[in-house]
Amino acid sequence: MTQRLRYLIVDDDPAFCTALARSLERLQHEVAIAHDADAALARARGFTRSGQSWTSSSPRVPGCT
Amino acid sequence: MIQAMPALSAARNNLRQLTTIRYIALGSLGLALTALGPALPRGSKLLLLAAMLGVFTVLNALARGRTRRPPPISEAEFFGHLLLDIAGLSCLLYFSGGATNPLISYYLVPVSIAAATLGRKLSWAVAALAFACYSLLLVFYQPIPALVPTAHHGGLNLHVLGMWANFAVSAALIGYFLFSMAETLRHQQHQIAQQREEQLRDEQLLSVATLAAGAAHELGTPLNTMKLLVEDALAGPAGHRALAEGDLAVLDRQLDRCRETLKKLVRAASVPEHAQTAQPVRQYLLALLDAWRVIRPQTLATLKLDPNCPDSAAIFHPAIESALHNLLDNAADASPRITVEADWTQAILTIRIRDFGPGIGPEQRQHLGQPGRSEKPHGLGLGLFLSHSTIGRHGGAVELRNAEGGGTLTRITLPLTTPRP
Repeated sequence: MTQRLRYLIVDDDPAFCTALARSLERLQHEVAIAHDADAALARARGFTRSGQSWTSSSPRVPGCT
Repeated sequence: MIQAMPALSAARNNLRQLTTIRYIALGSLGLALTALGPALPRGSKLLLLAAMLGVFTVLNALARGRTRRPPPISEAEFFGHLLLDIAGLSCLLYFSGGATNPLISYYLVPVSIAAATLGRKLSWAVAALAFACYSLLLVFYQPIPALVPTAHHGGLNLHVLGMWANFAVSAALIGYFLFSMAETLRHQQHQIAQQREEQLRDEQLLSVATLAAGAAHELGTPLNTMKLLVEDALAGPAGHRALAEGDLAVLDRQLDRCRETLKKLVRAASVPEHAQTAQPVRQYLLALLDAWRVIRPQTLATLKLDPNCPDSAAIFHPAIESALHNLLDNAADASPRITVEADWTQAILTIRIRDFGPGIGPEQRQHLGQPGRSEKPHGLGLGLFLSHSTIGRHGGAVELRNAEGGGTLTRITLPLTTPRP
């Protein structure tokens, strides 16, 4: 069993976020989803320093320039 | 953007100017005849000369009217008008002192016009004919004693002979140098047109490349989503792998998105139709060949349009004209004489360009239309490739094969885009 990680997925495409989150959850990871920059920052604040976060974002995510 | 066709073709403009020159010449002659007539001795063919001027004026008015009628004026027709000038001038001179008449130097006018506007062979033909008429007029004419230079004693006058020799040298110089200058100008014009085409092509390529990059980015997300869903399904136990109802719907939407993106790319690669207006097919082809003849006056191009074809109109992308000019250039490079035949229905246009050159070898045939291959020693083969791809992008096809009886037959089929009502 690999190490359990916390993921924050940020993308404006809900279908992609859901599919990726499901794959990660199947691997027993913890996943949070955000569709824009504000929500992403709000979710990231709740993450502990020890946790790792991997952010996938596209240039078109609302709030990102 | 390339202008689809010039409002006034060069040949038409040339003929219009020629008729203006004639009006000026005829007017001057009329004045001269009125002023000098009474001074001339009895027996001069004054009435006959006046009648001839009248006839020429009528003929010139007809030629002027010709410039307003739609059929394009070919090089051969313009040549015919210049022959008429030489014939008319010769008649006038025959009855008015022949080579002793100072008016004889007017022969240089048609020679110069021919050198500036016609191909090499035809302009030399005009010069040779003018010289021949001049030479005949040294011997055969109805004399007007008042016109003969002094010290006349029966035979050929040295002054008249000197003028004749001078004419020969002048005509040769004009024929050679003026023709070269006009040729240089035509060449430059051709290069400018080519550069404009290349620029248009580059702009189009750049915009397509930008769009392609955007499309690739847009395709990334739905493809990733589908990949994840499929991997998810594959991760299930063997024999029970299946996609959930909801996942199928997601997959379906992702596929739609991919298709939409690709459609958008294809649409963007073609110039918007609303930016163009429909043109009658017949006029389009006539103008297209007319414009091409200006660039390649040395090539004898015969255009045959099927008279039974419908009077339909269609939208022609500006790139089509360049592509067709390119194919015509190819044919003209292979032989000095080409024939172009076209017929069309409401839906499709077929053009056959036939040259009488060496034709296509079996090895060349395989590589035709590919970049980097050329039948010409200095060509890159790019022209043919671009013509192929332009015609292909508009749903048409270019086919080259050996014609019966030698030469190459280039067959172009192009679906016609009719204007929406």
